[in-house]
Amino acid sequence: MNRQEVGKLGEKLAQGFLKKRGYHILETGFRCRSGEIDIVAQRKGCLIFVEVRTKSNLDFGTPEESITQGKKRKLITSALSYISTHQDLPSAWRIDVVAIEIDSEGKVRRIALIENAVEEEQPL
Amino acid sequence: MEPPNLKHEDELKLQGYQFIAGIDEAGRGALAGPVVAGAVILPQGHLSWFRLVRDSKQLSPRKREILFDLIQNQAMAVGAGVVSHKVIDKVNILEATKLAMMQAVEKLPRQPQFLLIDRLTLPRCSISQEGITRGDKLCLSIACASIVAKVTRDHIMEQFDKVYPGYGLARHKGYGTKEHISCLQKLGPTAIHRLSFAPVKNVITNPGCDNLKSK
Repeated sequence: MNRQEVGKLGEKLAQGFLKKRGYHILETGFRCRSGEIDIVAQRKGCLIFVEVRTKSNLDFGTPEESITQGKKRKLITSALSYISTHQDLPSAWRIDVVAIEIDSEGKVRRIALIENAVEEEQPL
Repeated sequence: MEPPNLKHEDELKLQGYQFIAGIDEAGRGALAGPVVAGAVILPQGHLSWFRLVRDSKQLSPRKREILFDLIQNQAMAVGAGVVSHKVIDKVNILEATKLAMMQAVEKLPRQPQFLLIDRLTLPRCSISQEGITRGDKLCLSIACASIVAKVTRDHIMEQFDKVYPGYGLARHKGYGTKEHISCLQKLGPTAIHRLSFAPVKNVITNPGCDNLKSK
């Protein structure tokens, strides 16, 4: 599987995984100038932006570790962009990460939900 | 340090003040262009973007623009005051800043009952007020006002950059960066430079100083 296929598969797996956990999926692949948000969902009155990280090879670290500071900043700005372009959203929101490891045949070895994985940077 | 919050506003609301405006300024230290003040009355309740608000200097330009739009669309009232370089040269920057703040308050479509102001107070304004040191970092309404002031001023400077090209005004917005000072020395001041400010004054009284330095 190439990178795109791994990513696509991961996003499909993540959607099923989140639905089972009561996430109501509002939108997938929200794009803006700052980047993309894989899944936008709502659960218990909270708006949740989900970044899906899928890895088929752990030589360069776990899926969780693959999110850089720069990516975190982009996720926050993209979330802000989503908030600014949509009406009637709940005021509570957070950014979760779904980390997925698959083997070479595309079977899931590990899938984990990290709630509130990305918090806005504190000012100095 | 904690991000800006609504503690000051909530306390004033307990005292019976309903409409509380935050006030802040941008461009006080710049060598060219106006000083701009923003005034913001936030809506009741808590909105999703509140927790991303910081004082304008701590935000990326992109975030600042998105927050600016959110404030414009969702605040109860927004006002901006712009005071030109000419007035700054005539009355001094502190008085010009206060003037811009007064204008920003007057531009508010709804009259506030209390003003929370970054650092200063406005003695000539009859509305109850408090000057808060580091207010732009502590108080959410003032932080929002700082975004309104900064983005409004940046947009003005981007327009001035088209009228006075070659100085990089769209980049440094008139602040005294190395690039700006060297342009000033090469090209001299434009019609929007603050002649009362030392770095600009030095260029006029000492026009050839960059040649001397290069030797």
